[in-house]
Amino acid sequence: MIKDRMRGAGLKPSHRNRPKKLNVRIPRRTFIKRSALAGVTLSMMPHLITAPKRTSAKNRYQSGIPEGDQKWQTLSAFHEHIFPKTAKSPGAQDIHATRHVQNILFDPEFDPEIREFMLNGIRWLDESSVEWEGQRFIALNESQKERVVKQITQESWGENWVSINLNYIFEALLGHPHYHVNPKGIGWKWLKHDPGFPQPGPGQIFGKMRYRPL
Amino acid sequence: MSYDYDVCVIGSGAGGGPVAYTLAKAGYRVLVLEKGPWFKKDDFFKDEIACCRRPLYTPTLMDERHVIEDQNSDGNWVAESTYDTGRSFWNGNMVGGSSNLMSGYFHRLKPKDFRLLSEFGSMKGANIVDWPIDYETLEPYFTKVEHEVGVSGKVVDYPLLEPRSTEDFPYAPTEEHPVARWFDKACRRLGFNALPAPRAILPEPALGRDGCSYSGYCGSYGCATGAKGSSSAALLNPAVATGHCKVIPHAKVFYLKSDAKGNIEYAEYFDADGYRQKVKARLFVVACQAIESVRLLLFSTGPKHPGGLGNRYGQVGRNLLFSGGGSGSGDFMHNDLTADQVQELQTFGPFFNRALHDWYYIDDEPFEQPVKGGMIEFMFTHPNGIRRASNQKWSSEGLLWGKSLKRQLEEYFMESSHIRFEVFNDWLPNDNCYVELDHNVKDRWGTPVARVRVGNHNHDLKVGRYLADKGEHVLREMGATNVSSAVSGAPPPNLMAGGLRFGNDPRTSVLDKNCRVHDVDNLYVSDGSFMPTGGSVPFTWTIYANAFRVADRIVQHLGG
Repeated sequence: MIKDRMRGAGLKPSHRNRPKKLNVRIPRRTFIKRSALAGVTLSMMPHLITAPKRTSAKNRYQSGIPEGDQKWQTLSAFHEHIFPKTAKSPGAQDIHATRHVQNILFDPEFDPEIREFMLNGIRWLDESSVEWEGQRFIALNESQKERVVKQITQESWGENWVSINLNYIFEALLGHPHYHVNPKGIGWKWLKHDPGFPQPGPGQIFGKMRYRPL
Repeated sequence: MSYDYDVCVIGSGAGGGPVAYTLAKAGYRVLVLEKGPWFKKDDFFKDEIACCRRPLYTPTLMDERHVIEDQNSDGNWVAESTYDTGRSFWNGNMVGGSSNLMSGYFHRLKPKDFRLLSEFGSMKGANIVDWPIDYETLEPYFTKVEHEVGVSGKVVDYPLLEPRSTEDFPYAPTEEHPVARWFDKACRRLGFNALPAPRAILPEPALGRDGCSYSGYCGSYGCATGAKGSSSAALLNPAVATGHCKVIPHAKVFYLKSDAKGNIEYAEYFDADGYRQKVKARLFVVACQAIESVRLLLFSTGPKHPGGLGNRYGQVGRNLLFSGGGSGSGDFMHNDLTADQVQELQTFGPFFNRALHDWYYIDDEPFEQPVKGGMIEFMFTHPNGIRRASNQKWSSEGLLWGKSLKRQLEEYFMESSHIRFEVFNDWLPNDNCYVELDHNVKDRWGTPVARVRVGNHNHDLKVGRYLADKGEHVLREMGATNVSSAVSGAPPPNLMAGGLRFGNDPRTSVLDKNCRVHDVDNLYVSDGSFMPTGGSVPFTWTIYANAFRVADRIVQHLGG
């Protein structure tokens, strides 16, 4: 028997080197708000406050993201910074991490409060970049990006937002390619991870299989 | 009165399966109502996102939630909805229940578990009682589970071996991981009795099911071969095959209507389309897992049951149990080992299957008198990649990202192996662990959810720590580094029991010794909620065994 099964009730978390923090699930009350940053207003960055478009269940796990949407470019730059490509390992872009997050957030059944938090986080990241480094995140050099990430992780919202993004990056790294992540098992190969068998077919992944009938 | 069925079983997991199986084979007309979907073995894949990171086998917390009361650092009880905390208390909600997702480590209770009060005495703050039945009463049913559900293993003689009516398990042990030998050698050096852990897994085809495919994944996943002894694979499929049993998935029973005499007339449920349906039966069996069984009884008020079924003395929901204990782990750094040792560690598929029962009863410091102890189960860290990666994002200084994170992943996945252990000890029943209804929070059908207070007794932590230290000792003897463990009073939601304890006195119990609800002639409970104390092993085998026992009593009740 595995105590505290791995759906959050999953494996009892390893206690080694690990402060008591959040996992995938999020306590809303504790961090979905953020104190306003002095001197920065949303009107300076109107593109960042666009409400997410809702898509039908049929369109979940789409394989492409809209071009030219700056919030996704910001998130993509952030993902590549916290999960960079190296000579031996795939980076966030290689595993389609940003597209994965987008697919999750646009799922019509996704928790709307978490969706709002994740989208707000992109905006707050840019606001923080402007306040501390004078430019949007995407325009910063690597040292500046690192300073911003370090600073936002000192705040409750930032630490949780980065942590959740990392969880989704790990899903993109080690999830099944049918979710339009981990192309050709590139993440499995890097970490020599055996995903077990049988593997699902394209019509047998979450979303195609459901707990509740439509 | 005309009946739709002889017996209506509510819930299809380890508590419901044996009843449906036994009664259908006896020729009775059986209906099983299951809240969740019906996944067949061909629907089970090794897909970590579907299995373990999305609500495929459980409801979403937007649809269905619990309210959990936990004690904060000031000692005050604070109630939070699981929707707010994100901490789900659901297990496998589907045909077969959470038995689909178990690892299938099966251990029998020991004789003293049935008489904890008589053997170890009372303890302040704990509602310890003896069971109304003894080990000898349940032994034939432990054996029945070995044969009917399929338990594989090898009996090894040691001082605390439970009395058995058969010489050995009916199925040979599953294929063994080579590193289990390291464990055996370490235990020999330490003078401990290394035990091969029995598993509810068939190593070879039997009982109309395929044998294990050794995919390397077991717990948390549904079994694609049917080798795992889930309620659906082992019991419900054969029950349906008799032609006497029907299973309706997506059937959420929310109310049991009782008549002026207090007996159940019909069950009311929401079907897959959200419509209310009724079903009449001669007899009803509740097996929704402890918290939800309590919830159903409390909500089912009637003329003779104003406080809920069987609740004349306010006992329904009291003395909820979880498994006490904790877990630990150790690392085996490949650089410190020979190539052959690394190859053994990296063997993927066979089971580690080792446990220690040496401290099931403790007569040692720091305890002033003999106390009930527990057991330790050893295993490799679960292979789920996303979960393992997520655990690497924290360092002692906080979050990791960038190249330091990637280096950490490489070291964890490719340059080291990891063995962990889990401690199981009694969660002493106490006045701060109970279930009631929260009329301010409703599920998607508009019925009040369960509100659960999850207090534990401090003695559980002392016992857990004693056992965890033993587990650490073994890992170090095996050569592990970075060995650590944690013991906690946090309840593991997949290991719950109690809340509807059985007993001989209606003033202090909800069920009689045959698990029939006091004051209700035609209502039984066959899940783990009957347990007045939990023992120090995973609950599933005990639930299966007792449900087979209850099923025999129901057959007698119906006329044989």
